[in-house]
Amino acid sequence: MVEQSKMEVLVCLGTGCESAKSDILYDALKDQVKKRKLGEKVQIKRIGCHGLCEQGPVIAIEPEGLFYCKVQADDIEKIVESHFVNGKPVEELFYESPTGEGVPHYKDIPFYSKQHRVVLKNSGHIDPSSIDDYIAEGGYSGLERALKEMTPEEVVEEVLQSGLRGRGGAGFPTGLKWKLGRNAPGDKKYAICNADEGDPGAFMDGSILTADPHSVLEGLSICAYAIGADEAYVYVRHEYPSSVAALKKALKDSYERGYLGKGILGSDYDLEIHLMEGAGAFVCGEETALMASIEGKRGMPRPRPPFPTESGLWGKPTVINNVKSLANTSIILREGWEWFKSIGTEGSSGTAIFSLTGKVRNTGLVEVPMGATLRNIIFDVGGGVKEDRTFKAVQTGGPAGGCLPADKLDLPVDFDSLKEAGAIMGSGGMIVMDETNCMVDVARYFLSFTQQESCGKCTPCRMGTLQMLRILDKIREGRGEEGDIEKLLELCDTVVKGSLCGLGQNAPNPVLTTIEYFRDEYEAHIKDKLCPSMVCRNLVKFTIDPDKCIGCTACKRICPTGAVQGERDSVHSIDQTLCIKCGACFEVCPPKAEAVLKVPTHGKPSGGAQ
Amino acid sequence: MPTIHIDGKKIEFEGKGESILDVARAAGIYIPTLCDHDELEPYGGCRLCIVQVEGMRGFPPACTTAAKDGMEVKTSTDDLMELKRNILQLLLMEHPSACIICDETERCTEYRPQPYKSGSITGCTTCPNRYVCDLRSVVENLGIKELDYEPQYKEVPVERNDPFFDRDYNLCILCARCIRVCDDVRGTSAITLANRGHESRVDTAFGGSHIDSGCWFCGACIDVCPTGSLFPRLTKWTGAPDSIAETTCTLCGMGCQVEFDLKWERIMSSRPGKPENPPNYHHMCVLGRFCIPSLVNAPDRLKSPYLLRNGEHIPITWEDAISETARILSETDPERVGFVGSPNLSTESAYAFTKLARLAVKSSNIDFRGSDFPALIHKEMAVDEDFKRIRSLDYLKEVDWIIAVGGDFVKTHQVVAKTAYRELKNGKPIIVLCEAGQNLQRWAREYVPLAPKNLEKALSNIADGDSKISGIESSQSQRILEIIQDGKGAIIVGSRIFESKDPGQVLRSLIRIAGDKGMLIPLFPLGNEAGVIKAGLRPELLPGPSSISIKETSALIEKSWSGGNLVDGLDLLEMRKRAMKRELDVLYVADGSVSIEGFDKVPTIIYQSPYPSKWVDKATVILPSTTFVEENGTFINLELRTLKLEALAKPPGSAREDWKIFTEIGQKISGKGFDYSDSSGLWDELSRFTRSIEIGGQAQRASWKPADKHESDWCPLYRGAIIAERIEDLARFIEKLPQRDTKPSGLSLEELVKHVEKERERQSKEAV
Repeated sequence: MVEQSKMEVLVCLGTGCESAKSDILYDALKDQVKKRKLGEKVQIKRIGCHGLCEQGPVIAIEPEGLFYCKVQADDIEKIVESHFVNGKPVEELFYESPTGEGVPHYKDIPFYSKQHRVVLKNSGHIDPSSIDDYIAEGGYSGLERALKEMTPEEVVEEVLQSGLRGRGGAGFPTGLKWKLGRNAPGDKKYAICNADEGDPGAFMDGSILTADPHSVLEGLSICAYAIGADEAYVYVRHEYPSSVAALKKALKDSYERGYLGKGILGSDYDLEIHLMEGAGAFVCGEETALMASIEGKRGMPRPRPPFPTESGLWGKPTVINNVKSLANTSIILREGWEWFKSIGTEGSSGTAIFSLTGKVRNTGLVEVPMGATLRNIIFDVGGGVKEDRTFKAVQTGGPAGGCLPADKLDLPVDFDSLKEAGAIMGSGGMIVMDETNCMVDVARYFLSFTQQESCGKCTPCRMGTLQMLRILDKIREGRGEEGDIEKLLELCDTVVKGSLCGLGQNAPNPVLTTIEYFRDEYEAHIKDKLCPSMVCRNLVKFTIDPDKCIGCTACKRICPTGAVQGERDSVHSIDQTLCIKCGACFEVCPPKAEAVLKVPTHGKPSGGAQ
Repeated sequence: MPTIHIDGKKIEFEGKGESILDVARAAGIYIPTLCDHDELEPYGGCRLCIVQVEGMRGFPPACTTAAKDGMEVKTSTDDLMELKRNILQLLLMEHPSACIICDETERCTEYRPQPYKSGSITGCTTCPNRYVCDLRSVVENLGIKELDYEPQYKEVPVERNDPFFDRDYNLCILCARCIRVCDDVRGTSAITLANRGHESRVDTAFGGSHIDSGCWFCGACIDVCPTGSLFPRLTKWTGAPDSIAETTCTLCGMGCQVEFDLKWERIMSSRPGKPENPPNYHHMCVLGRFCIPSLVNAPDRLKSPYLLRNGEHIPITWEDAISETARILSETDPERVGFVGSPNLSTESAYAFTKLARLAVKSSNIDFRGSDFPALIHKEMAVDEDFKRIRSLDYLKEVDWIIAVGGDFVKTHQVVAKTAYRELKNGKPIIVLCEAGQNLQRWAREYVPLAPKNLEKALSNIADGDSKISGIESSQSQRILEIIQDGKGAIIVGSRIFESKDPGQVLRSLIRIAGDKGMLIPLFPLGNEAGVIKAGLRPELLPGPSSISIKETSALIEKSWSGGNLVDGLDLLEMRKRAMKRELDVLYVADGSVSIEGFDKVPTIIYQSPYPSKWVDKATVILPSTTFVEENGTFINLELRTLKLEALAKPPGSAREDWKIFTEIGQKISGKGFDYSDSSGLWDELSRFTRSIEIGGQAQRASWKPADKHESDWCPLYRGAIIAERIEDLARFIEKLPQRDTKPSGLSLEELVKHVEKERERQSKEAV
């Protein structure tokens, strides 16, 4: 008799779902299952990020592969009663396709079906706190193979052959870095995992660490073995409490199971991994600043050369790899370099992971083979732009990346193509923008971040970004002058060429690319004092169309400054001297009236918002 | 030899890790820099030294890029110069630049050398760097005449809440030289870069006071600052000096070379001597850096000789003063006259004093109030091989480990500390076997807060290589013995070993521990102690120094002097006992720091000093003398290095150099043997007498024991002037020292932050 397999209920506790209170769902499910004594039949599990954050909190039911979206606490009883007890899935919680049909299985949702999950294979499927779950999925077999069957040199060669390039952003061949570390003279060496993910809107590394921490530890152990280090660090941000907790648990289990410590897996190889919590400075993602921070100094980069592989942590040869690079190496060692090399493109093998955010329908964690086009990612996986607006630009590579316009949508996503177009792969942030985004404002937003996160050590980055920010502010506020664009470009040049580390050298990218691809928007701001997207506050005003106003007082009631005047059932007007342009009136004006208009401050009124 | 091409010029270099900047400078090629400093590790922050190197990506900074054979470097292509000018302009956004880009700069500095007094820097005339400015010279070099960018001045208030120096961070360009010198060179780490982006600033931990953050007020930060951000409060407004000159500071046994700004023949400000000058190589401590002008320009300095007549001091001429003193001294039984000198005398003055006592007056009752340290050194290191262990601080480079005993040298001898810290940075371990402040504790590889009374036993254990050291837990004993078992050692000995029962025994053990090739650094606390001992300012010693019991040397001196009382006499303690029994008729005291207790019963007191003290009231004759900046002479420091004193400033009133007063009195009494036209005659004469110490021949005679712990700890004195009593800022600092060295025990980080916040609140309330 075939044993009926147990139903696994996977509750996503990734950052997105958790902030939507999925922990309550988990507790409620446990409670219900216990109350109804379904323990024999149903097992409730916590998982890391399942990927489709937009639809969170999500619950997956395995082995059927059913998928419940936007689950609320009230739905729990229904799920238990209908699905667990009576075997009838709750259809209203299925994913709703753009055509309005319910999709029961997640593998049929384009968001998942169009992805190629390699590194994220375990994410959302295994319980991150269980080392057994990881081992059951083939975990630690890569390390075992390395330790038992290979010399460190062979491990380096394997990674070199795989063509893996650093997933931290710069795309330096990982195998080459290991080789340099391996060949560096010295008997004390360090391996470091860089988990200081700090880009606004990026959550790849954090998700992997919470969903599949062992894959990273395994990769780090392989790296340490390959270069000959007996000590390694995971440098993770303190503001990632769930990552920190997951890592702590994983480290504890690894030591207990003999995957770390003395004589790993019966070999004569010893390794100690320390967890180092960073204090939350963006620049500490830069490798020399990261090492300074581990040494207890202020997180501040220093010029290279010497590179960390020659003189790194405490002056010893050090290899630093990003979370995703390390997760990749465990897979390379498990599956072999040929398999890995078969994914992706010639110059960039493997997959690319993006945290897809912004004005896109399916925000979430995405993994596609290198060489997939931006269109694949944004439209096929991401489901296109929200509310059927027009796609305008996509920002890749975090705050130091670049904005690419619609005509670059067919650009293949790999290290070299993106760089050529003026953007960077970065560590994997991807922010989609539509017609309601003003590109001057977008450039300013990203620059304000890098400007604040500059460590202050070198002049071009410290003062140059500030000066650029002021010029952008000037333009945004309608005070732009002829020559400002040229001045910006000159500053960009100074900051790019003059800055000490990657933060400064890449900080002007958003400005450079927006000027390159959206120069007309800048010129509209400067010459016509117009913000084409109606975003820049000083360049728009709100008025009420007397022909349409129905005198409902909705706008008057919500106005925080008392700028709206007029009695009930009579036409309202807005006193421009009192208006702070918060846009609340515009939002509340009933659709049947649409009387509140957003018009340019200067020049002739166009017909309201787009 | 490897070669490199810079701007087409072929240059050979040694290939010992020189940077491109080093090679270019050596070849006379100018590359502008701001964050670079000779003493500091390359930093790569200001970005003004960027160059282009064929085959290298981007624009590497010349300061951090190693020169490699065959490199093609370009330093001044049009692109590069444009880039540098843009970077410098960005830097000037933050820096009030009125002075730098003003058309009138040249004439302004010529015709208006006096600054206006103003709260914060607004322009050229109020900047402390108006005369010499690194930043301005770089701007001139790159030819920046106007600024394209709007200024972004910080507009922060000038910080004046700490002793000695003010900080106007409006002028700061964040080159971090101050932070790096404090951290990497001085080992203090009192300041750091705080905040991020353009809000980055130099600050202390939690923004607390410098005293609390561990600052020693050595002033190194001021000396490396390329702008006018940091400046000594006292001397900011004194204007351009008439001249600048260097001499030796005598406020402790270090003998630092110090450079003075002189105006109207007075000392206006001091800073460390030139970087190439030993022993301090451009570093100092709080005393030399900040205290000298106030000390030597004190308004209460003695300015004229006085004589006591009918219970009142009346000013008299020098002629009368000399005659009267000579009369008093010659009319008294030499056995009933006492001579008390000072460790702050120049070696020549001390020699003249010895000669006056022993030859003219025929008294052998001669001593000074010192630490006893140099006398002990001579006695216990009678054998010349032992004595040679006192070497120059430069020798610290050669040793493999360092032991500190007898006091916290970071507190008392900052320059020794700075030199030791350099070795610590090179990986040499420091073992601290005494109570130490937090700074030294942090440096120590092994720290044992041994009380001085337990030193004797512990050190003899260590010298014997006993696996169990008395008073030290066994695993730590093991570690200490392991550190010192190989290589050469240096032992830094503080004066608190005198609190042990047998300081001689302690010193003997230390000599054994140091070994033949090792070195001993005795921390003489009180100025020219080694010099006055050489001059024989002790009853059991003769000039040289020589033990009084050695016949050959005393015969040589007798012959040279044509006579003299060359037998043992009374030391300071014995003189005091005699005085209490009214067996001392005349006391000639040249140091107001000697306690008057017991001596008040002496009927006739001759008091000679630059400063008034309790002795003035009792003195029959008062003779005003000079300070070290007003006299020529010789200083012998704790490395036994001979250093020159130069008379740079004009003494107040008719004050005279000590040696002149002593020799004139001697000449008056004897009629011959004291005829010197300048101090060098005395030095030449003294140099004829060489060191000759009898082994085991001397009774241990202590003339001074620390009166209390406070005084034994760190109490800078200068001939009757307690420096902290005269300089409020120093008193504020010294007072706080014990407090900051007590660890706030058991506080969690949160509690510590709360504690600091509370403290800051209290301070701001006080300020209001």
